[in-house]
Amino acid sequence: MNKKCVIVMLLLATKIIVVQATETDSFAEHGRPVENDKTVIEGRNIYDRSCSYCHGLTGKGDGPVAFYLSREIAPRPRDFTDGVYKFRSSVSGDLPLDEDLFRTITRGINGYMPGFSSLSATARWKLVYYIKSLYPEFNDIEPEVIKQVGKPLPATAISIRKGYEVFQQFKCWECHGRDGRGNGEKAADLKDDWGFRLPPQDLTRMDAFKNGREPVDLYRSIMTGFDGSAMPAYGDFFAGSEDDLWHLINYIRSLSE
Amino acid sequence: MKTKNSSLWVSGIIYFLLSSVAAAYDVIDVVNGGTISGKISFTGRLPANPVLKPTKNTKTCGTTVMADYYVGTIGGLQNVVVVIENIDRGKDYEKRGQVLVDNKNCMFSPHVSTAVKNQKLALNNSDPVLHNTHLYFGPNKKTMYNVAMPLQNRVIKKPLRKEGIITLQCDAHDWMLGYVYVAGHPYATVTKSDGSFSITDVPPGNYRVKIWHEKLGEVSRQVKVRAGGTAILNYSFSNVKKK
Repeated sequence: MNKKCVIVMLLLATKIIVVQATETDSFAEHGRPVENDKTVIEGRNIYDRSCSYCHGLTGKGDGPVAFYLSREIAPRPRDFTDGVYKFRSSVSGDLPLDEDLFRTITRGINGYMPGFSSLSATARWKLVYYIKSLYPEFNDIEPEVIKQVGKPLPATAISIRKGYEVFQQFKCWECHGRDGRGNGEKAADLKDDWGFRLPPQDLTRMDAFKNGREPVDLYRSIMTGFDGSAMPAYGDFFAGSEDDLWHLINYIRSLSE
Repeated sequence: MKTKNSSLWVSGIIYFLLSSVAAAYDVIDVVNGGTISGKISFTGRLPANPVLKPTKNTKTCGTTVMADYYVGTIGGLQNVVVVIENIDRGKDYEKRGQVLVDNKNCMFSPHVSTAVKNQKLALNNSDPVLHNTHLYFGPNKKTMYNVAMPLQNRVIKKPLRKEGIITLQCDAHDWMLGYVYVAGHPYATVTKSDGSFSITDVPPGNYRVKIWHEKLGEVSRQVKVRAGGTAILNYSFSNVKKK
């Protein structure tokens, strides 16, 4: 294989990644079916084939594979009847948006759950509808959404330096460690809601970012926190000073470059 | 959160009816109301509180922390919630009121407080270290929200939308424990250090009063309140509820 060929292939690969990353916004909406009893039942059929091995036939996160995956360590497969979700665009304590569930199904979770982009967008939306049907409050309550204010800033040395100061000021290091390796003073005994040990992430690892590593992903993660885990929401503290958060995001990303 | 303008309008109406039943408290002018007062105590010696040994932020938290589960003086038991269970009309209260809970010396202060539904919970961090206030709802302890408290002395406010007992914890300091009892009306209080309490301006009638302690469990008692009178309600816990 010559050099040119490799470059072309790399370019193609990048393009595929870019297409995947933006799919949630445009292509996906195109294939989105109406949410009704019929699509919920169709979602259930897909769920039984694709998701039940880990998440269980009744959605309680107790499928046969779940037992082997993580019997005594977190994170276990989500219990969809419990209504507690980590990856959201909504304030801490609220349910996720349809788009959040769709994104997680599409991308999967680094190191834990495979992405299901091989299913058609329509099939993934049906899954979303079925998963929601397992927790009736999805019908009654509209989540309060954290809107993105501002946009990612260029990752200049100055911005990263400012982000480092925010990391100090907001005491991220107390859990994630001075150098971001997930070894802070408070790291050792953090647990999730189900009593399983769930240490803070090692931010120097590319694969640490379960909710995505793009700046907009980190924005969501920090503002909303991960419900069910020890990671709290910083939404109240960054409201009005969102640029500080964008700098912080640049610093966090610089740790794993 | 707001109620969704759902196309499933039937379920919407049912939800509306249910929620309005749950939220039914009418403010009236209480003329010549009565008082429920008394003392909650503990028979025998109070159980010893566990002594915990923090391993982090010891500069702020100290190297030993005494848990505050059983507190009281002269036979009284502090931090007991006393609340009327069946009351749907009565005195006015501060609808925009708030309950302040401080993270101070790596403890929640106050340890137990009461609030009325839809009032706000104001959270503060007096300590120079990172706290997070993780709220759990009900006996099953389902996450309500989890708020970072990284900066000193910046109060943030969160709504209390549901009636029931809320447990406050800090993931960063696992000994920290606090409670907020959210009632649908203002007839709820917490006992003082001598175990005494007083609920005033109660419309005359028969009531069921709940007495709740975080470790000792809960009991209900019937109380008859006469116009302008004082109904005495004394109760003594005797042994630790086995879990």
